[in-house]
Amino acid sequence: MVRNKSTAYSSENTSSIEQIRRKWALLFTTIAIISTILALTMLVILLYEGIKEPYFMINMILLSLALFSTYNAIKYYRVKQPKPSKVMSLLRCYECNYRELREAKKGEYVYKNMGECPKCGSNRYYIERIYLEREEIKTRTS
Amino acid sequence: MIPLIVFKEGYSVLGNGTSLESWGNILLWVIVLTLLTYGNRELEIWRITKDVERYLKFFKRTRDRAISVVLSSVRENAQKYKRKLDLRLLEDRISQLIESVFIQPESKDPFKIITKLKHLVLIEDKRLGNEIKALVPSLEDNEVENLKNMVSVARELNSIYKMLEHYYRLARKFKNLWLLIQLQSLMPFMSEEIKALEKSLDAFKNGYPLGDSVGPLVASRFIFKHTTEFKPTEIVENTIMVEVPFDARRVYVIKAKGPSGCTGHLDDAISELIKELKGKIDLIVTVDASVKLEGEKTGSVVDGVGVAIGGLGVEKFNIEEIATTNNIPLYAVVVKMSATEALSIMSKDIALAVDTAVERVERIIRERSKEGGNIVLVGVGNTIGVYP
Repeated sequence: MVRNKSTAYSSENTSSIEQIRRKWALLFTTIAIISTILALTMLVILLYEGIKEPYFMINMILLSLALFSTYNAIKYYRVKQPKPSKVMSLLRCYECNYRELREAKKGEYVYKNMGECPKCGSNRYYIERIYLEREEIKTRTS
Repeated sequence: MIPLIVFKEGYSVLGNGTSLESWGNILLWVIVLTLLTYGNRELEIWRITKDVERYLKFFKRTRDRAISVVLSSVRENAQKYKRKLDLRLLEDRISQLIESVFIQPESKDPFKIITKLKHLVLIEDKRLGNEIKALVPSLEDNEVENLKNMVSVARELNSIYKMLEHYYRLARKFKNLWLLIQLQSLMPFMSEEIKALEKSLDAFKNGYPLGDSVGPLVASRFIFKHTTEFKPTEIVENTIMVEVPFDARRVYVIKAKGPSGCTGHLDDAISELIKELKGKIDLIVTVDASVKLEGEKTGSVVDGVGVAIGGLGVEKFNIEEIATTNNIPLYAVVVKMSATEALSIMSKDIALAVDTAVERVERIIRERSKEGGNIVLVGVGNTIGVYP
């Protein structure tokens, strides 16, 4: 429940990235297929009928469009989705060194006393770390 | 070359056509080339404008979302204390807070500028706290601090968006390509900053530690590692001090009061401690997050000489002043991270670097101070999500 809240931003970003990726990949694939079919048909006709201007130039333009669209379509298909992130809490007993890693809950903070240790019963059972795991922070500096 | 107008088969501009046809073709070519040159420039302006607009839309969306997060947080807190809020009034007050300005002191005569700056910062801090308390009087101190941080983030996002939009509108108004190019080249960097600020909202809302909380976290880890029983003393407002025995020395750990999102008054705390100990301090060690360079790894720990502290420079100046007056050596330990990571929820690399930083602090204390000495360890940064 809490995890959903803490990862709300990242999941929102993920879905919007996926939508954009799908939209552009589909558009470029369609253009690539149409322009390739047209260019190849025109090329075959030109080979039989003899090369004539300006049809040859139009054919070249169509071929360039086909290549450009294919390149872009591949680029959009290759876009990787950012991995979903989780905020984790590491609980540690400072007496017996028992550790437990689980998702963080709202209101938790580092060195919050978590009551008795499930292993030794000591009350020196604290949250030692709270951190974001598996998130790819895409920055120009990292 | 392809003729633009074909009068008969095999004709070309370079061939032996009639002179009228040749002139017609040349004229057409000139018109086409002129249109292309002009059109290219217009196309470039259009392309850059669209690019800048795209970024501005994203910035506006982020700013609006930040404001709505602030509003929903205030509402949530009010509901918690079963207090009814007039939504229109709340929106008005929050938007006034977000639009408010902080005017820097006059620097033409820099004499005592730090004192003036500190005075203004303290007033601003108190004002923000009082405004939030006026909205929901029953709020606890840590909730007020977290809301203050959220309002500050929304304010920063608003000012960045408004400034960039101003330059964009100016460039559009005067059709200034160079201003647009400058804006376009600036946008990716601003985008990084905006994303970082947006991520910090998530941390402030849930109360999780940020990358910048690494300084206070090192201080806390040092306390918990070397003592079992301790009582934090609030030496100055929002700043605590814990006395920790370490290798026959007394280490006075100073940090902002957690787990609320505040940075404390570290310079005042050190000054107070020096007064209490009558200047008998062997060294001061500051621990903070630092922005890494391109090739550096997140979480790498570096030490050096000086005061590791960011912000407006008020606290840095004051600590340097105190140390110089009392002839106390200043050492610093910094944990490297990107600006985005500093404002996001603490990453695993940074969380793991805390142990290394604590070991480095211990080594500095052992090597650079004598047994029986008094050492001050200062955890610098926002202490959100870090106790004590």
